[in-house]
Order: sequence, then structure tokens, then C-alpha cells
Amino acid sequence: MFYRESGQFKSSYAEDQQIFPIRQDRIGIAALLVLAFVVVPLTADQYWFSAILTPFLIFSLAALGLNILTGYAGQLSLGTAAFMAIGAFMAYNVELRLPWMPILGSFAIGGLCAAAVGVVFGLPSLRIKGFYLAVATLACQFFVLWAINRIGWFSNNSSSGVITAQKIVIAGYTLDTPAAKYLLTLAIVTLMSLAAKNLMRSETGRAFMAVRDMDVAAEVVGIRMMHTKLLAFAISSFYCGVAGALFAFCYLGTVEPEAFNLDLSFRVLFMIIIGGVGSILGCYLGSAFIILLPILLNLVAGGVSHTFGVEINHASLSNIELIVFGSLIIFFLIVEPHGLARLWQIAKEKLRLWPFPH
Amino acid sequence: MAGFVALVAGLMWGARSGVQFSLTFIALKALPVLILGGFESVPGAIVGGLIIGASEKLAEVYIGPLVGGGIESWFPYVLALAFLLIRPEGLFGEKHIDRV
Repeated sequence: MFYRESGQFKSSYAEDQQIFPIRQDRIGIAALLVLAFVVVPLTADQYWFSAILTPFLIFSLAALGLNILTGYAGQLSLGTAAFMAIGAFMAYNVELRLPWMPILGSFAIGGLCAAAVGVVFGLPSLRIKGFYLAVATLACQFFVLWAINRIGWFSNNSSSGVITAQKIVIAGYTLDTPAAKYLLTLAIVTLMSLAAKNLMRSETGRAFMAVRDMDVAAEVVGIRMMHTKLLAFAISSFYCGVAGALFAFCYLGTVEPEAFNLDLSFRVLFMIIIGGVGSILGCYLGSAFIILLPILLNLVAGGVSHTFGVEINHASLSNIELIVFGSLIIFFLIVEPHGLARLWQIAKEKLRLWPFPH
Repeated sequence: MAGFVALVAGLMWGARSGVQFSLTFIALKALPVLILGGFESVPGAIVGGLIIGASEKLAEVYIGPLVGGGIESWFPYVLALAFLLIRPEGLFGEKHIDRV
């Protein structure tokens, strides 16, 4: 009834090609941005900022990076956490060794270093594909963590390899409250999502999708395979690197290399599978699912034990949580193999006709 | 069938090194073995397993001290990677021909 494009006429090319062609979408996005930038900082408390919202945004960014590579360019990767580690440790080193560098510059350099490593480990993708490529990126995951652990330069010769992120200072203001860090993360994530959304509508994005759908055919119609695949690896690793830098500077503060282990890679992969492969919105939905569901389950379990007066000890509680979490993932994938983003798309199509049957 | 073979492998590993949660990493180590030997090939899996297992320990002993040790964790993957660059279908795998 309300959500439809009828009556909205386009009279110029610019209008025809805008990101959100339907007015209701634009209003919705604007409302969401106002909510995230203005309402949330005024209302949320410290716990929400530091334990829920900031990690949610950071994981969305990492998922976005992986989605560019896996969802759009079709190259399976298990090295996300390694790229995040490079971003975090290089941003730390740049801040440490070049004190005059603004913090955003350090994040960018961290991202660029991750992109360079991504290109190197993306080279095998020119010869191998699919499941084989997963092993190649697995090599990247283990090799990078090993290098960071062994080479003292990365962690400034700290004996345990732990780094403590420097203070975030932007133009003289020190961002040390969780709310300020949340806003910084939000700003970066918003800008980079916008860039990703636009990239995927451009020639580069279409080339990615052609490679994903069938690389031999894409090569036949004149898409440069090496250029496209390596660009996908570079952009994806850049996003992951920035996410890693934010992970260290805005979320944890003190990071050890083991924080970026294989589990993290798999978590990000689960996020895009659940959220929807090849969809920008899906990154956010998947990240919210993975981050928020355990917290929700925890609350529910607490409520259940409170109302029924059943004492559940902590160990079995966390195991129950894992079981429920795992079965929910399987349930969602059976019901909708294309992820949560597809559910939202179906809902939109239904809304166009609602309340009429045809 | 897959589960049964994995069960036997798990029993043998458990008898030798004890059971912990870190066992999940062993499953990942089976990947380079599979790839080195080539998919859809049983002798490939056996030969690949021997090559990976032997070279991982040899590398740890001979190359490890040069770079600070601990290379056991990533060496099989890099080996499989280097091998794939030369022969993308593995040792005994069937060669796939891409058609449009």
C-alpha cells in the first residue's frame, strides 16, 4: 500500500540511476542514519556502546570486505582474520613509529598493507578456484599469524605479542569515551558502505559479478581476469584491514595476535552466509545475527531460569547457548538459503501489493 | 562412509595424542592432504597424507630453526599452495576442462 514506486516519475538520468530509486527507501535510510548518529548516542549507555554497537559495526565492515570478495567476485576466502590482523598491527606500528601521522591516515595505511598482502595471496586465485582457493587463503591465515607472533617488529618487541592501541586523537580532540569511539566507527563504516554500494553499481562491480557467475565466459567477453581478481582481493583486504584497525583501536584497545585466529575468519564467513552472499544489507543483518543472538539467548536463558526458579549453572548455560545458536543457523539456512537479505527482499515484494492479493 | 573413515582416523589420533577441543584443527589439516593428492582419488589421499605428514615434520626439524620454529602450523598449507600452482588438479586428480 505505502511501499511502492508507482507515481514516482524520473525525468533525468541522474534520478534514474540513484542508489535508492524509491522515495520510501530514501526516507527509511535517512531515518536510520539519524537514529544511528543522533538518537543512539543520546540514549544508549556505556555497555551498549562498548559491548554491542561498536563490535556490531566493526564486524559489519569485515563482513562487507569478505562479501566483496566472496559474494560479488566469487572467490572463497578463509583469511579474513589475517587481513584484519595486518590492519590492526600495521596501524599500531604507523602510530608508534610516525607520531605525526593522523589516526585516520594510520587506519588507511593499515588497510593498504592488508591490501598488498591480499594481492600476494590472491595470486593463486588466477590458477585455482573454489575449494582449492580456500586452502590458499587458509595458508595466508596461518602464515600471517605466525609472522606476527614471531617477528618482534610487529608488536614492538613485546614478549607476549600483545599491543596496546594508542589514544585516538582527531584534530586535537581525544576520543576516549565509548560513545565517541562508536561515532568514529559509525562514520567510517557508513562512508565505506556507501563506497562499496557505489562500486558494485559501477563497471568494476559488474566485472566482479561476471567473474563470479562464470569466469571463463567473463574472460571471453573481454574482462581482464588478473586485473579483476586481484582488484577484488585488494579491495576486500583493504576493508578487512580497516575493520581490523578499528577492532584494535575502537573496540578492544589491547590486542594479541591470537584474537585474529581462524575462528574469527569463520565467524565473518558465517555472517555473510547467514546475512546473504552478494548483498550489502546482508553484511549488517548477518553481523547483527551473529553478535546479538548470543546476547539475546543469554537474556532469555536468564529470564527462564528466573521465572521458573531453575538454577542453571554457567557451564551448561553457555553450552545450551551454543546448541541453540547452531540449530538456529541451520534452521535459517534451510528456510532461506539465500540469507536474511533475501527475506527482506521478499518482504519488499509482498509490500508492493499489500493489502491486495494480486 | 565419510563419517566412518573420519571416525577411524579420530580413534587412531586419539589413541596417539589424547583428545582435546583443539582436535578440530586436525580436520583442517586434512584439506591440504586432499588437495595435494587430488580430489576423487583414494590413492591420492594416502600419498598426499604421507607427503604432508613427512614434509611437515622434516620442515620443522630442518627449516624451522632458521626462521624461529613453529612453522608446522602453516607449512602444509603453503606446500599445498605451491603444489597447486604447478599442478592445479593435484597429484592424481582428474583434469577438468572448462566449458562455456
